[in-house]
Formats: sequence, C-alpha cells, structure tokens
Amino acid sequence: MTASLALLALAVALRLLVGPDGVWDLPRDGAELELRLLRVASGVSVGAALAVSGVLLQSLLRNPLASPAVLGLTSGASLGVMISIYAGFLATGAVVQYEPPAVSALLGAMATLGLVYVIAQRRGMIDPVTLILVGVIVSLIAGALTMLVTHLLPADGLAASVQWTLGSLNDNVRWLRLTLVGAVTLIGIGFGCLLGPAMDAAALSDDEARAVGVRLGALRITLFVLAGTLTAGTVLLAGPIAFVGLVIPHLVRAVGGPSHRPLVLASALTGAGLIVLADALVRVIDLGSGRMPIGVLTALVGGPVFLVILLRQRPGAES
Amino acid sequence: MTLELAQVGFRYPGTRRLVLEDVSCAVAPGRVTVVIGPNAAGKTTLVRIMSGLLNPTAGRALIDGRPLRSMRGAERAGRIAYIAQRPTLGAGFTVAQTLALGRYALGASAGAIERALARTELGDLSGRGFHTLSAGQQQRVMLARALAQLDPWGPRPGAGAGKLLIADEPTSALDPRHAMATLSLFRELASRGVGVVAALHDLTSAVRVADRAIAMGPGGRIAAAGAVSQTIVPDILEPIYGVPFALTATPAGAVVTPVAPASTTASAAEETCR
Repeated sequence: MTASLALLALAVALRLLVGPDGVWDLPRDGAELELRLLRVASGVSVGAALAVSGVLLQSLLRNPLASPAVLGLTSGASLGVMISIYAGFLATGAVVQYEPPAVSALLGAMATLGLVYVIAQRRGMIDPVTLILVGVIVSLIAGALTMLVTHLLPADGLAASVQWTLGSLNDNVRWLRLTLVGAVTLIGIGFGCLLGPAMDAAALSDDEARAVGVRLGALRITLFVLAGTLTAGTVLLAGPIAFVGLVIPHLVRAVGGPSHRPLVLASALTGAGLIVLADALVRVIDLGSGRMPIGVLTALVGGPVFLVILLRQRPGAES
Repeated sequence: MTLELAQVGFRYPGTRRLVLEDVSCAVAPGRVTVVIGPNAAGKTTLVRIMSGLLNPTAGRALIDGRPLRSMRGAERAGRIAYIAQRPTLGAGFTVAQTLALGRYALGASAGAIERALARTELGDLSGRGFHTLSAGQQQRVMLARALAQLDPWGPRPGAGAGKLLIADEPTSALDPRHAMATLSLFRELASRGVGVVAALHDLTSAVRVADRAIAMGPGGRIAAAGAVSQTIVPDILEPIYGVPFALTATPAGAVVTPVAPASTTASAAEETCR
C-alpha cells in the first residue's frame, strides 16, 4: 500500500511538472495549472477505475485473466459511445466530440459483459479458456462495429474519433463530467472494499461459498454492475485503454496477497499512479507525429506482460 | 437439531431426469450418517439438499420442523458446514487464510482457527499457500475450514450441539492414516453433539465410522436406510452396485469387499496381459 501511494505521489508530481510541449517546467499561469490538474484528476480516476474493475471482474468470474479489455467491456463501451456520436451526427449534422451521453458507454459495457457471460457459461459454469476466447471474439466484433460507425462519420469527425478510439486523456473534458465520473469511481472503490471479505469467501467453490454465508447471486450482480459502471466511466474520460485492468491486480496481488479489501485499495492507487505516469511519459516522448495516445503505451507494455501471465497459467507451468 | 427430508424429489433445471425421487430420511444430532451408493446415484445432490444449497423440486427439507430454505446467511453458516467433493479456491490464499474464510459470516472467534488447525494436524502448514499443497492436504484444509466454521471445540459449553457437518467424499484423496484420522474426527464431533453426514465410496470406512447409513439405489431412490448393521450388508449392497459383496469380521473391525467375478480375478487379468 505504501509503495502504491509513493508511486501515485511521484506520478502526480512528474505530471504537474510536464508542460504542454513535453518540456519540464512549472505551470506558467492558473489556466495551465488547472489544465494539468484536470489531466491528473482524469488520469487518477481512469487508472483507479480500470484497476478496480479488473479486481472485481477477476473475482466475479473466478478467473485471473479477466479484465475490462479482455472481456470486451472496453470495446463495448467504446461502441456505445461511437453509436451515440453517430446518432448525434444524424440528428444535428455535426460531430459532437467528447461529450457523448454517459448512458451510451454504460449500456455498451453492460451489453457486452452480459453477452460474453451468456455465451461462455454452460449451466452456470464458466470455463476460463472459453471465457477469454469469447471475450476476445466479442471484443473484435465490437471493435469492427466501432470502425464501421467511424467510417460512416464525415472526415472532420473522423480524425478526432480515431484519436479517441486509441485511448487518451482528454484535454476538453469538463470538470462536471470529471467530478461525476470521479464520484462514481470513489463509490466503486468503496463498494469494492466493502465487498472485499465476500469476494475472499467467493474464492471457494460456489457451494462452499454459499455454505459459509456468501449471498453469491447478489454479490455477482453487484460486481457485474460495478465493473461495467467503472469501465464505462473510464471510456467516457479516455476512450478504451487496455491491459491496466488486467496487469495491475496481478502485480498488486503478487506483492500484497489475495485479500480483496487491500487488493482493491492498492490496485486503485497503483492504477491511478500508472496512468498519470503514462500521461507524463507520452508528453515527453516525441515521435514527431504528435502525442502518443496512452492506450498505445499501455498496450505496448501490458501486452507482453499479459502474455507472460497467460503462459504461467498453462498446466504444467511453474507458478 | 434434526434434519428431515420428506418425499424429496429433485431434477436439475433444464433436464428431464429425476436425480432424486421420493427420498425420505432424517439426520439426528450426535450421530454419524453415511450416504452410500454407486456413481450417479444422487449422493452429491442429496447432501447438497441437506446442506440447504439446493431446494428440492418436490417434497420438503426441514430443520427442527421449519423449512431449511428459510435459514440463510449467517444463521445457516453457524449451524451447517459443507465440504465439497473437490477442493476449490482462488489463487494466493494461505492455509490460515483459507480457514478464516469459514468465519466469513460469523465473525472472528478467538482460537477457532488454531483449534481447527490442531485437530487436523495442519499447524505446520498454516503459512503455506493452498495451491502448493497436495490434493490430500487440500482436502484436509477444507475439513479444517469447516471445523473453524462450526468451532465445536469452542469455549462455550455445548459448542457442537445443534450443528451439522456435511461432507461429500471427504476421504477420497487421503492416505490411509489421514483417512482414519478424519473418520476418528467425525466420531469425536458426534460425541460433542454434531450431526455428521458423509457421502462415502469406501464401504469399510462407512461401516466402521457410521451409526446410520442411507443407501442410494438406481433411479435416485433410497434402497435402504437405518442402522449400519442393517444397511451395509451384502443382501442390500449387491442389487445397488450390481456385484456381490462379502462382509468379514476381523480383529481390526468389519471389512466390506466386492467379490469379483472369476473373469476379473488377478490370474485371469495376468492371462490376458500375456
């Protein structure tokens, strides 16, 4: 927990010291300080929500490979947002960027998670490998539909939409929306902590979990809704960002153990620190073609980590 | 505490086959009851219904005269502990943490985990990761977790009274020494007023540990139920399992063995191998 706090503090300090041109400097005026604070707050909310969503999904599905991105939630939420942007375009003739209705992301995330769950389960039992495969396939389909909707947008909306679908913190987000998503994230973390002991006991078999007093049905519905809501919030603020929800719970669990209450808290802090740090890094890294989206950086780092985790899960692999 | 099933029937959702049909039996406190029968006879379904984990689709499951389904959460956890056939647990838990899960709804009880570790001789393994243990050790940990839940050796007088331990094949992965230790533990629990129900395949263990037996026959019906001396006998076992049995008294206790047909004796098998 201390290490997670230290990471977050370091990341926030670094981010506040990176200027708009990727140069280390102090904010020149109040407006610039506000912009940097806004990006820090946005990164904290997105990172914490993604990491906690990963913890909740891994408990819900009793599968350490579950995460918002792998199970298609992120793609589903993105599709929901793109559909709402397209609907706005059809209604008004203009592309309204970055302020899609929150309910579109939420519906997209929930619909995808529900679809993955229904297809992957058989008489209520879920095979982990089937679940991952179904999640990846549904995610691909949602991604293809997102591209289709993007393709239907006019040229002036296309560039911004493509940038958005790569996953990056948004300079134009309003404080009101940020406050609302932040509040939802805090509530999600609070519920995650509250449900920690129940998630611990739910690590037993279904029958044994119920026999020690877990109300398994209510717990699963709550985790389902919380994970979907948290993911939808992150998509509204930053578009789809992969691997944070998968990798952070793994790293924190490896250091701090499986107990869910501290796992939720430490994952929230570490996820927040990681996204804010990534936001500072993408400002400093200049590839000559504009700022690299955070989603690209997290995928480049998180992808290989995910592969290592997957290989270690194989039967016969040392753990 | 008396658990009573009256004309219970059960079929799993979306299936036509009746797994249990017209099952009536009772479990008394301070007694060890074994459930025996061939594979797919409905033993697991029966013990899950007795644990309140499944609701019968016909008939009634009652505890002290009230519907078992009305007892939920902490109230049920404080009175009925259940051990599943296969030990299952998420990654990363130590043995001591696993035992603590048994206290989830009941809150910590001073010494409950230590008492359970001591009774199952798992004290030395308390810091080990559950997934680093052998299948047999994991099975013992799950027994200890159930003991931590019921805490029948707790400081309160009569701590075991009114409680029920239900285990589905609790010795299937154990070596002979630990299987015997587990069966002895069941007898100790019964002496403290706990009602013990165990689904067992090992009929010799069943005849030695149990006071009463429920023999499941084909079609999910009870073939016989009552005192072990009247239930686990060749005349009842043969039609259930489809092979003849011998019940032999030895100085160490009764031994129940299937009598193999001549074609499956060792010499015949050797002949085939050549």
